[in-house]
Amino acid sequence: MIQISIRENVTPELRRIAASIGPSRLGSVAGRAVVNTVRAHLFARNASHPNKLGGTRQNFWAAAARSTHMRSESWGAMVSINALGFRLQYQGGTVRPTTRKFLTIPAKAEAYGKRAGEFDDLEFTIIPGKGPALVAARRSEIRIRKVKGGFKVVHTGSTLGNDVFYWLARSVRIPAHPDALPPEAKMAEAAQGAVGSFLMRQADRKSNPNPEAA
Amino acid sequence: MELGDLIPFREALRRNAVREALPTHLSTAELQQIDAGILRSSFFSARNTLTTWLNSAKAKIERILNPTTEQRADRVTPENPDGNVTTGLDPATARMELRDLITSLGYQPDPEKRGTIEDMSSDQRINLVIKTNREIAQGYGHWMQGQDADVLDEWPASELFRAESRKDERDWSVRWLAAARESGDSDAVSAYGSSGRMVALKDSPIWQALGDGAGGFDSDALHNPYPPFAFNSGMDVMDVTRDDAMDLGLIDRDTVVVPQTQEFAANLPEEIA
Repeated sequence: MIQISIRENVTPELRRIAASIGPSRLGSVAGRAVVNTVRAHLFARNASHPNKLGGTRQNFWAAAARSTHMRSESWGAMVSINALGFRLQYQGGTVRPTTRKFLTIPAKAEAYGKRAGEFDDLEFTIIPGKGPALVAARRSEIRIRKVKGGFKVVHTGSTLGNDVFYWLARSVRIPAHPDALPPEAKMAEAAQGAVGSFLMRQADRKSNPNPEAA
Repeated sequence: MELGDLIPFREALRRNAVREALPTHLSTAELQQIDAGILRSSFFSARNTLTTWLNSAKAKIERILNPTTEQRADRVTPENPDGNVTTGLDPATARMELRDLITSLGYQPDPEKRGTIEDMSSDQRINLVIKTNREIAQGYGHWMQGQDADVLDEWPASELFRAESRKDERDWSVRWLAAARESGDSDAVSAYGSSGRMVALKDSPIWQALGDGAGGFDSDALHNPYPPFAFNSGMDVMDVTRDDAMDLGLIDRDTVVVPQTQEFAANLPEEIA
Protein backbone atom coordinates (compact mmCIF):
# COMPACT_ATOMS: atom_id res chain seq x y z
CA MET A 1 0.00 0.00 0.00
CA ILE A 2 1.21 3.48 -0.84
CA GLN A 3 0.44 6.09 1.75
CA ILE A 4 0.51 9.80 1.13
CA SER A 5 0.96 12.15 4.01
CA ILE A 6 0.61 15.87 4.24
CA ARG A 7 4.05 16.90 5.43
CA GLU A 8 4.65 18.80 8.66
CA ASN A 9 6.11 21.78 6.88
CA VAL A 10 3.13 22.63 4.64
CA THR A 11 1.26 25.84 5.28
CA PRO A 12 -1.87 25.78 7.43
CA GLU A 13 -3.79 27.02 4.37
CA LEU A 14 -2.71 24.03 2.30
CA ARG A 15 -3.59 21.74 5.17
CA ARG A 16 -7.06 23.34 5.37
CA ILE A 17 -7.57 22.90 1.62
CA ALA A 18 -6.50 19.26 1.80
CA ALA A 19 -8.92 18.66 4.67
CA SER A 20 -11.79 20.32 2.84
CA ILE A 21 -11.17 18.30 -0.32
CA GLY A 22 -10.99 15.04 1.60
CA PRO A 23 -9.21 11.70 1.11
CA SER A 24 -11.58 10.34 -1.53
CA ARG A 25 -11.01 13.20 -4.00
CA LEU A 26 -7.31 13.35 -3.24
CA GLY A 27 -7.29 9.58 -3.66
CA SER A 28 -8.66 10.02 -7.19
CA VAL A 29 -5.72 12.24 -8.06
CA ALA A 30 -3.18 10.00 -6.34
CA GLY A 31 -4.72 6.85 -7.84
CA ARG A 32 -4.70 8.28 -11.34
CA ALA A 33 -1.06 9.26 -10.89
CA VAL A 34 -0.21 5.68 -9.96
CA VAL A 35 -2.26 4.33 -12.89
CA ASN A 36 -0.39 6.67 -15.24
CA THR A 37 2.98 5.60 -13.83
CA VAL A 38 2.15 1.91 -14.10
CA ARG A 39 0.78 2.28 -17.63
CA ALA A 40 3.84 4.19 -18.81
CA HIS A 41 6.10 1.56 -17.24
CA LEU A 42 4.23 -1.34 -18.82
CA PHE A 43 4.04 0.25 -22.26
CA ALA A 44 7.80 0.89 -22.08
CA ARG A 45 8.35 -2.71 -20.99
CA ASN A 46 6.28 -3.89 -23.92
CA ALA A 47 8.55 -1.98 -26.28
CA SER A 48 11.71 -3.41 -24.70
CA HIS A 49 10.54 -7.02 -24.27
CA PRO A 50 9.69 -8.67 -27.58
CA ASN A 51 8.93 -12.41 -27.71
CA LYS A 52 12.06 -14.39 -26.89
CA LEU A 53 11.30 -16.78 -29.75
CA GLY A 54 10.36 -14.08 -32.24
CA GLY A 55 7.18 -14.40 -34.27
CA THR A 56 3.95 -12.48 -33.93
CA ARG A 57 4.02 -10.29 -30.88
CA GLN A 58 1.39 -10.92 -28.23
CA ASN A 59 1.98 -7.49 -26.64
CA PHE A 60 1.38 -8.96 -23.20
CA TRP A 61 2.75 -5.96 -21.33
CA ALA A 62 0.75 -3.46 -23.37
CA ALA A 63 -2.39 -5.46 -22.63
CA ALA A 64 -1.50 -5.35 -18.94
CA ALA A 65 -1.04 -1.57 -19.22
CA ARG A 66 -4.51 -1.21 -20.70
CA SER A 67 -6.03 -3.31 -17.96
CA THR A 68 -4.69 -0.97 -15.26
CA HIS A 69 -7.38 1.05 -13.56
CA MET A 70 -8.38 2.50 -10.21
CA ARG A 71 -11.31 2.86 -7.93
CA SER A 72 -11.84 5.71 -5.48
CA GLU A 73 -12.72 4.76 -1.94
CA SER A 74 -13.71 6.89 1.03
CA TRP A 75 -10.16 6.52 2.37
CA GLY A 76 -8.26 6.92 -0.90
CA ALA A 77 -7.98 4.73 -3.98
CA MET A 78 -7.15 1.20 -5.12
CA VAL A 79 -5.23 0.39 -8.29
CA SER A 80 -5.66 -2.93 -10.06
CA ILE A 81 -3.99 -4.59 -13.05
CA ASN A 82 -6.63 -6.95 -14.43
CA ALA A 83 -4.45 -9.05 -16.68
CA LEU A 84 -4.19 -12.80 -16.53
CA GLY A 85 -0.56 -13.80 -15.97
CA PHE A 86 0.62 -10.47 -14.64
CA ARG A 87 0.72 -11.55 -11.00
CA LEU A 88 2.64 -14.69 -11.93
CA GLN A 89 5.21 -12.68 -13.86
CA TYR A 90 5.59 -10.16 -11.05
CA GLN A 91 5.70 -12.52 -8.09
CA GLY A 92 6.91 -15.67 -9.78
CA GLY A 93 5.69 -19.11 -8.78
CA THR A 94 5.38 -22.70 -9.84
CA VAL A 95 2.70 -23.51 -12.37
CA ARG A 96 1.23 -26.98 -12.63
CA PRO A 97 -1.39 -28.21 -15.08
CA THR A 98 -4.91 -28.22 -13.70
CA THR A 99 -6.87 -30.06 -16.39
CA ARG A 100 -4.15 -31.92 -18.35
CA LYS A 101 -1.06 -33.97 -17.62
CA PHE A 102 1.49 -31.54 -19.02
CA LEU A 103 2.10 -27.88 -19.48
CA THR A 104 3.07 -26.88 -23.01
CA ILE A 105 6.11 -24.64 -23.32
CA PRO A 106 6.47 -23.02 -26.76
CA ALA A 107 9.67 -24.10 -28.50
CA LYS A 108 9.36 -22.05 -31.67
CA ALA A 109 7.97 -18.75 -32.77
CA GLU A 110 4.83 -20.09 -34.41
CA ALA A 111 3.80 -21.88 -31.21
CA TYR A 112 4.00 -18.71 -29.19
CA GLY A 113 0.64 -17.33 -28.03
CA LYS A 114 -1.19 -20.45 -29.22
CA ARG A 115 -2.68 -23.51 -27.61
CA ALA A 116 -1.29 -26.87 -28.68
CA GLY A 117 -4.87 -27.86 -29.52
CA GLU A 118 -4.90 -25.23 -32.23
CA PHE A 119 -2.49 -27.36 -34.29
CA ASP A 120 -3.97 -30.50 -35.79
CA ASP A 121 -0.69 -32.21 -36.72
CA LEU A 122 1.29 -32.46 -33.50
CA GLU A 123 2.46 -35.77 -32.06
CA PHE A 124 3.76 -36.70 -28.66
CA THR A 125 7.32 -37.93 -28.62
CA ILE A 126 10.31 -38.18 -26.30
CA ILE A 127 13.38 -36.35 -27.51
CA PRO A 128 16.40 -38.26 -26.15
CA GLY A 129 18.23 -36.24 -23.56
CA LYS A 130 15.65 -33.48 -23.65
CA GLY A 131 12.32 -34.94 -22.63
CA PRO A 132 8.74 -35.10 -23.82
CA ALA A 133 7.63 -32.83 -26.61
CA LEU A 134 4.97 -32.19 -29.18
CA VAL A 135 6.47 -32.30 -32.66
CA ALA A 136 5.15 -31.82 -36.16
CA ALA A 137 3.75 -35.19 -37.21
CA ARG A 138 5.43 -37.43 -39.78
CA ARG A 139 4.33 -36.24 -43.14
CA SER A 140 4.64 -37.29 -46.71
CA GLU A 141 6.66 -35.01 -48.81
CA ILE A 142 6.59 -34.57 -52.55
CA ARG A 143 8.75 -31.91 -54.11
CA ILE A 144 8.10 -30.82 -57.63
CA ARG A 145 10.00 -28.53 -59.89
CA LYS A 146 8.76 -26.58 -62.86
CA VAL A 147 10.38 -27.83 -66.03
CA LYS A 148 9.90 -27.06 -69.64
CA GLY A 149 6.46 -28.24 -70.63
CA GLY A 150 5.18 -28.95 -67.13
CA PHE A 151 6.26 -30.16 -63.69
CA LYS A 152 8.59 -32.93 -62.56
CA VAL A 153 8.63 -34.81 -59.26
CA VAL A 154 12.16 -34.49 -57.93
CA HIS A 155 11.78 -36.03 -54.48
CA THR A 156 9.38 -38.18 -52.50
CA GLY A 157 9.69 -39.39 -48.95
CA SER A 158 8.54 -38.67 -45.46
CA THR A 159 9.93 -36.50 -42.74
CA LEU A 160 9.59 -37.17 -39.09
CA GLY A 161 8.71 -34.56 -37.04
CA ASN A 162 11.64 -33.61 -35.03
CA ASP A 163 10.47 -30.10 -35.40
CA VAL A 164 9.60 -29.39 -31.77
CA PHE A 165 6.64 -27.07 -31.30
CA TYR A 166 6.21 -27.50 -27.56
CA TRP A 167 8.21 -28.97 -24.72
CA LEU A 168 6.03 -30.72 -22.18
CA ALA A 169 6.55 -30.29 -18.46
CA ARG A 170 4.85 -31.38 -15.26
CA SER A 171 5.54 -28.00 -13.75
CA VAL A 172 7.28 -24.77 -14.61
CA ARG A 173 8.96 -22.38 -12.26
CA ILE A 174 8.43 -18.80 -13.35
CA PRO A 175 10.99 -16.47 -11.79
CA ALA A 176 9.76 -13.29 -10.14
CA HIS A 177 10.11 -10.10 -12.17
CA PRO A 178 9.93 -7.35 -9.58
CA ASP A 179 10.77 -4.88 -12.34
CA ALA A 180 7.41 -5.65 -13.96
CA LEU A 181 6.10 -2.81 -11.82
CA PRO A 182 7.77 0.54 -11.24
CA PRO A 183 9.57 0.73 -7.89
CA GLU A 184 7.16 1.48 -5.06
CA ALA A 185 9.07 4.70 -4.32
CA LYS A 186 8.47 5.89 -7.88
CA MET A 187 4.74 5.25 -7.62
CA ALA A 188 4.60 6.99 -4.24
CA GLU A 189 6.53 9.92 -5.66
CA ALA A 190 4.13 10.19 -8.60
CA ALA A 191 1.11 10.11 -6.27
CA GLN A 192 2.64 12.59 -3.86
CA GLY A 193 3.73 14.88 -6.69
CA ALA A 194 0.28 14.90 -8.31
CA VAL A 195 -1.53 15.57 -5.03
CA GLY A 196 0.97 18.29 -4.18
CA SER A 197 0.59 19.96 -7.58
CA PHE A 198 -3.20 19.70 -7.35
CA LEU A 199 -3.33 21.24 -3.85
CA MET A 200 -0.87 24.00 -4.68
CA ARG A 201 -3.01 24.99 -7.65
CA GLN A 202 -6.14 25.17 -5.51
CA ALA A 203 -4.25 27.34 -3.02
CA ASP A 204 -2.86 29.54 -5.79
CA ARG A 205 -6.32 30.04 -7.26
CA LYS A 206 -7.58 31.06 -3.86
CA SER A 207 -4.81 33.52 -3.11
CA ASN A 208 -4.43 34.84 -6.68
CA PRO A 209 -7.89 34.61 -8.23
CA ASN A 210 -8.13 35.28 -11.92
CA PRO A 211 -10.58 38.21 -12.29
CA GLU A 212 -11.60 36.96 -15.74
CA ALA A 213 -12.51 33.53 -14.37
CA ALA A 214 -15.07 35.03 -11.98
CA MET B 1 5.18 -5.08 -2.98
CA GLU B 2 2.28 -7.36 -2.12
CA LEU B 3 -0.56 -7.64 -4.61
CA GLY B 4 -4.07 -8.01 -3.22
CA ASP B 5 -7.32 -9.06 -4.86
CA LEU B 6 -8.22 -7.63 -8.23
CA ILE B 7 -11.02 -5.11 -8.41
CA PRO B 8 -13.42 -5.24 -11.38
CA PHE B 9 -12.76 -2.67 -14.11
CA ARG B 10 -16.36 -1.52 -13.99
CA GLU B 11 -16.21 1.07 -16.74
CA ALA B 12 -14.65 -1.41 -19.17
CA LEU B 13 -17.20 -4.07 -18.27
CA ARG B 14 -20.00 -1.56 -18.74
CA ARG B 15 -18.70 -0.65 -22.22
CA ASN B 16 -18.73 -4.29 -23.24
CA ALA B 17 -22.12 -4.96 -21.63
CA VAL B 18 -23.98 -2.18 -23.45
CA ARG B 19 -23.26 -3.70 -26.82
CA GLU B 20 -25.89 -5.81 -28.52
CA ALA B 21 -24.95 -8.49 -31.06
CA LEU B 22 -25.48 -7.12 -34.56
CA PRO B 23 -25.45 -9.91 -37.13
CA THR B 24 -24.68 -8.42 -40.52
CA HIS B 25 -23.94 -9.28 -44.14
CA LEU B 26 -22.16 -5.94 -44.55
CA SER B 27 -18.46 -5.56 -45.23
CA THR B 28 -16.24 -3.26 -43.16
CA ALA B 29 -16.54 -0.55 -45.81
CA GLU B 30 -20.33 -0.87 -45.91
CA LEU B 31 -20.54 -0.82 -42.11
CA GLN B 32 -18.86 2.58 -42.13
CA GLN B 33 -22.00 3.98 -43.76
CA ILE B 34 -24.11 3.03 -40.71
CA ASP B 35 -24.85 5.58 -38.00
CA ALA B 36 -21.82 5.71 -35.64
CA GLY B 37 -24.09 5.58 -32.58
CA ILE B 38 -25.50 2.23 -33.69
CA LEU B 39 -22.03 0.86 -34.35
CA ARG B 40 -20.83 2.01 -30.92
CA SER B 41 -23.71 0.17 -29.24
CA SER B 42 -23.28 -2.98 -31.30
CA PHE B 43 -21.07 -6.02 -31.13
CA PHE B 44 -20.40 -6.99 -34.72
CA SER B 45 -17.88 -8.44 -37.08
CA ALA B 46 -18.02 -7.69 -40.80
CA ARG B 47 -20.11 -10.22 -42.78
CA ASN B 48 -20.81 -12.24 -39.63
CA THR B 49 -24.49 -13.16 -39.34
CA LEU B 50 -24.06 -15.65 -36.51
CA THR B 51 -25.76 -14.16 -33.46
CA THR B 52 -24.76 -17.12 -31.28
CA TRP B 53 -21.11 -16.60 -32.15
CA LEU B 54 -21.25 -12.83 -31.58
CA ASN B 55 -22.88 -13.31 -28.17
CA SER B 56 -20.28 -15.90 -27.26
CA ALA B 57 -17.45 -13.60 -28.35
CA LYS B 58 -18.90 -10.78 -26.26
CA ALA B 59 -19.14 -13.07 -23.21
CA LYS B 60 -15.52 -14.13 -23.68
CA ILE B 61 -14.39 -10.50 -23.87
CA GLU B 62 -16.12 -9.97 -20.54
CA ARG B 63 -14.20 -12.89 -19.02
CA ILE B 64 -10.91 -11.59 -20.40
CA LEU B 65 -11.65 -8.14 -18.97
CA ASN B 66 -12.61 -9.51 -15.61
CA PRO B 67 -10.15 -12.04 -14.18
CA THR B 68 -10.59 -12.91 -10.53
CA THR B 69 -8.34 -13.84 -7.63
CA GLU B 70 -8.22 -17.23 -5.93
CA GLN B 71 -6.12 -18.42 -3.03
CA ARG B 72 -4.25 -21.69 -3.58
CA ALA B 73 -2.00 -23.40 -1.08
CA ASP B 74 0.32 -24.69 -3.83
CA ARG B 75 1.10 -21.14 -4.90
CA VAL B 76 2.21 -19.80 -1.54
CA THR B 77 5.72 -18.34 -1.77
CA PRO B 78 7.59 -15.73 0.26
CA GLU B 79 6.64 -13.17 -2.40
CA ASN B 80 3.04 -14.40 -2.45
CA PRO B 81 2.21 -15.41 1.15
CA ASP B 82 -1.54 -15.69 0.50
CA GLY B 83 -1.08 -17.93 -2.54
CA ASN B 84 -3.08 -15.52 -4.70
CA VAL B 85 -3.67 -16.72 -8.24
CA THR B 86 -5.34 -14.77 -11.01
CA THR B 87 -7.81 -16.90 -12.91
CA GLY B 88 -9.87 -16.16 -15.96
CA LEU B 89 -9.86 -16.53 -19.71
CA ASP B 90 -6.75 -15.92 -21.79
CA PRO B 91 -7.02 -14.71 -25.40
CA ALA B 92 -5.52 -17.93 -26.85
CA THR B 93 -8.16 -20.12 -25.20
CA ALA B 94 -10.88 -17.66 -26.21
CA ARG B 95 -9.66 -17.85 -29.81
CA MET B 96 -9.65 -21.64 -29.81
CA GLU B 97 -13.14 -21.83 -28.35
CA LEU B 98 -14.47 -19.28 -30.82
CA ARG B 99 -12.95 -21.16 -33.73
CA ASP B 100 -14.51 -24.41 -32.49
CA LEU B 101 -17.85 -22.67 -32.11
CA ILE B 102 -17.90 -21.14 -35.58
CA THR B 103 -16.97 -24.51 -37.09
CA SER B 104 -19.72 -26.25 -35.12
CA LEU B 105 -22.18 -23.66 -36.42
CA GLY B 106 -21.43 -24.89 -39.94
CA TYR B 107 -19.27 -22.01 -41.10
CA GLN B 108 -17.05 -22.82 -44.08
CA PRO B 109 -14.62 -20.19 -45.35
CA ASP B 110 -14.32 -19.45 -49.02
CA PRO B 111 -11.42 -21.78 -50.00
CA GLU B 112 -9.60 -18.89 -51.68
CA LYS B 113 -9.79 -16.82 -48.52
CA ARG B 114 -8.93 -19.54 -46.01
CA GLY B 115 -6.57 -18.25 -43.32
CA THR B 116 -6.96 -14.61 -44.34
CA ILE B 117 -8.68 -11.83 -42.43
CA GLU B 118 -11.81 -12.54 -44.49
CA ASP B 119 -11.97 -16.09 -43.11
CA MET B 120 -14.02 -15.74 -39.91
CA SER B 121 -12.45 -18.89 -38.46
CA SER B 122 -8.86 -17.75 -39.02
CA ASP B 123 -6.50 -16.82 -36.19
CA GLN B 124 -6.03 -13.43 -37.73
CA ARG B 125 -9.72 -12.65 -37.81
CA ILE B 126 -10.61 -13.99 -34.35
CA ASN B 127 -7.57 -12.27 -32.83
CA LEU B 128 -8.75 -9.01 -34.34
CA VAL B 129 -12.24 -9.45 -32.87
CA ILE B 130 -10.85 -10.21 -29.41
CA LYS B 131 -8.16 -7.54 -29.40
CA THR B 132 -10.34 -4.76 -30.83
CA ASN B 133 -13.25 -5.33 -28.48
CA ARG B 134 -11.06 -5.78 -25.44
CA GLU B 135 -9.21 -2.55 -26.22
CA ILE B 136 -12.40 -0.60 -26.91
CA ALA B 137 -13.70 -1.60 -23.47
CA GLN B 138 -10.42 -0.77 -21.73
CA GLY B 139 -9.96 2.43 -23.76
CA TYR B 140 -13.39 3.55 -22.66
CA GLY B 141 -12.62 2.61 -19.06
CA HIS B 142 -9.43 4.65 -18.94
CA TRP B 143 -11.11 7.55 -20.76
CA MET B 144 -14.14 7.48 -18.44
CA GLN B 145 -12.00 7.40 -15.29
CA GLY B 146 -10.18 10.42 -16.71
CA GLN B 147 -13.41 12.45 -16.78
CA ASP B 148 -13.45 12.95 -13.02
CA ALA B 149 -13.37 16.71 -12.28
CA ASP B 150 -10.25 16.52 -10.09
CA VAL B 151 -8.44 14.26 -12.54
CA LEU B 152 -9.30 16.71 -15.33
CA ASP B 153 -7.99 19.56 -13.23
CA GLU B 154 -4.61 17.87 -12.83
CA TRP B 155 -4.45 16.19 -16.27
CA PRO B 156 -6.61 18.27 -18.62
CA ALA B 157 -5.01 16.92 -21.80
CA SER B 158 -4.06 13.63 -23.43
CA GLU B 159 -1.22 12.68 -25.71
CA LEU B 160 -1.57 10.20 -28.54
CA PHE B 161 1.37 7.83 -28.86
CA ARG B 162 2.34 4.53 -30.45
CA ALA B 163 1.99 1.82 -27.82
CA GLU B 164 2.60 -1.21 -30.04
CA SER B 165 4.80 -1.50 -33.08
CA ARG B 166 3.34 -2.69 -36.36
CA LYS B 167 4.90 -4.16 -39.46
CA ASP B 168 3.34 -1.47 -41.59
CA GLU B 169 2.68 1.46 -39.35
CA ARG B 170 0.05 3.95 -40.40
CA ASP B 171 1.16 7.56 -40.14
CA TRP B 172 -0.86 8.87 -37.23
CA SER B 173 0.63 12.35 -37.38
CA VAL B 174 -1.17 12.82 -40.71
CA ARG B 175 -4.41 11.62 -39.14
CA TRP B 176 -3.80 13.82 -36.13
CA LEU B 177 -3.37 16.98 -38.18
CA ALA B 178 -6.36 16.11 -40.36
CA ALA B 179 -8.50 15.57 -37.25
CA ALA B 180 -7.20 18.81 -35.71
CA ARG B 181 -8.06 20.80 -38.82
CA GLU B 182 -11.44 19.15 -39.34
CA SER B 183 -12.42 19.68 -35.70
CA GLY B 184 -11.05 23.23 -35.61
CA ASP B 185 -8.51 22.58 -32.85
CA SER B 186 -5.85 25.06 -33.91
CA ASP B 187 -4.15 24.79 -30.50
CA ALA B 188 -3.46 21.11 -31.15
CA VAL B 189 -1.95 22.05 -34.53
CA SER B 190 0.25 24.69 -32.86
CA ALA B 191 1.31 22.31 -30.10
CA TYR B 192 2.25 19.73 -32.71
CA GLY B 193 4.16 22.35 -34.67
CA SER B 194 6.17 23.48 -31.68
CA SER B 195 6.77 20.16 -29.97
CA GLY B 196 6.05 17.36 -32.45
CA ARG B 197 3.70 15.91 -29.85
CA MET B 198 0.10 14.91 -30.53
CA VAL B 199 -1.49 16.56 -27.51
CA ALA B 200 -4.96 18.07 -27.09
CA LEU B 201 -7.33 18.95 -24.29
CA LYS B 202 -9.59 16.11 -23.23
CA ASP B 203 -12.72 18.06 -24.20
CA SER B 204 -11.40 18.86 -27.67
CA PRO B 205 -13.51 17.56 -30.58
CA ILE B 206 -10.25 16.31 -32.10
CA TRP B 207 -10.61 13.00 -30.26
CA GLN B 208 -13.98 12.17 -31.81
CA ALA B 209 -12.70 13.35 -35.20
CA LEU B 210 -9.70 11.05 -34.82
CA GLY B 211 -12.01 8.16 -33.94
CA ASP B 212 -14.22 8.97 -36.93
CA GLY B 213 -11.23 8.85 -39.26
CA ALA B 214 -11.30 12.55 -40.20
CA GLY B 215 -9.39 13.43 -43.34
CA GLY B 216 -10.54 10.40 -45.32
CA PHE B 217 -9.20 7.75 -42.92
CA ASP B 218 -12.61 6.33 -42.13
CA SER B 219 -12.13 2.86 -43.62
CA ASP B 220 -10.76 1.50 -40.32
CA ALA B 221 -12.53 3.91 -37.95
CA LEU B 222 -14.09 2.72 -34.70
CA HIS B 223 -15.96 5.99 -34.00
CA ASN B 224 -14.88 6.42 -30.41
CA PRO B 225 -13.01 9.40 -28.90
CA TYR B 226 -10.64 6.99 -27.14
CA PRO B 227 -8.19 4.26 -28.15
CA PRO B 228 -7.73 2.20 -30.17
CA PHE B 229 -9.47 4.72 -32.52
CA ALA B 230 -9.03 2.37 -35.51
CA PHE B 231 -8.74 -1.38 -36.13
CA ASN B 232 -5.35 -2.72 -35.07
CA SER B 233 -3.96 0.80 -34.62
CA GLY B 234 -1.43 0.06 -31.87
CA MET B 235 -2.10 3.60 -30.64
CA ASP B 236 -2.97 4.71 -27.14
CA VAL B 237 -3.10 7.87 -25.02
CA MET B 238 -1.42 9.08 -21.87
CA ASP B 239 -2.46 11.85 -19.51
CA VAL B 240 -0.74 15.22 -19.78
CA THR B 241 -0.43 17.40 -16.69
CA ARG B 242 -1.81 20.91 -16.55
CA ASP B 243 1.69 22.35 -16.22
CA ASP B 244 2.78 20.51 -19.35
CA ALA B 245 -0.39 21.52 -21.22
CA MET B 246 0.19 25.15 -20.17
CA ASP B 247 3.73 24.99 -21.57
CA LEU B 248 2.26 23.74 -24.84
CA GLY B 249 -0.17 26.68 -24.94
CA LEU B 250 -3.26 24.51 -24.64
CA ILE B 251 -4.71 25.83 -21.39
CA ASP B 252 -4.17 28.27 -18.55
CA ARG B 253 -4.26 27.75 -14.82
CA ASP B 254 -8.00 28.21 -14.41
CA THR B 255 -9.77 26.87 -17.46
CA VAL B 256 -12.10 24.03 -16.56
CA VAL B 257 -12.11 21.10 -18.96
CA VAL B 258 -15.63 19.82 -19.46
CA PRO B 259 -16.13 16.13 -18.58
CA GLN B 260 -17.19 14.10 -21.61
CA THR B 261 -19.71 11.28 -21.71
CA GLN B 262 -20.80 8.66 -24.17
CA GLU B 263 -24.40 7.54 -24.06
CA PHE B 264 -25.55 4.00 -24.79
CA ALA B 265 -29.08 2.71 -24.94
CA ALA B 266 -29.09 -0.52 -23.03
CA ASN B 267 -30.24 -2.15 -19.86
CA LEU B 268 -27.23 -2.82 -17.69
CA PRO B 269 -26.84 -5.45 -15.01
CA GLU B 270 -27.14 -3.76 -11.62
CA GLU B 271 -23.61 -4.58 -10.49
CA ILE B 272 -22.00 -2.51 -13.24
CA ALA B 273 -24.75 0.10 -13.90
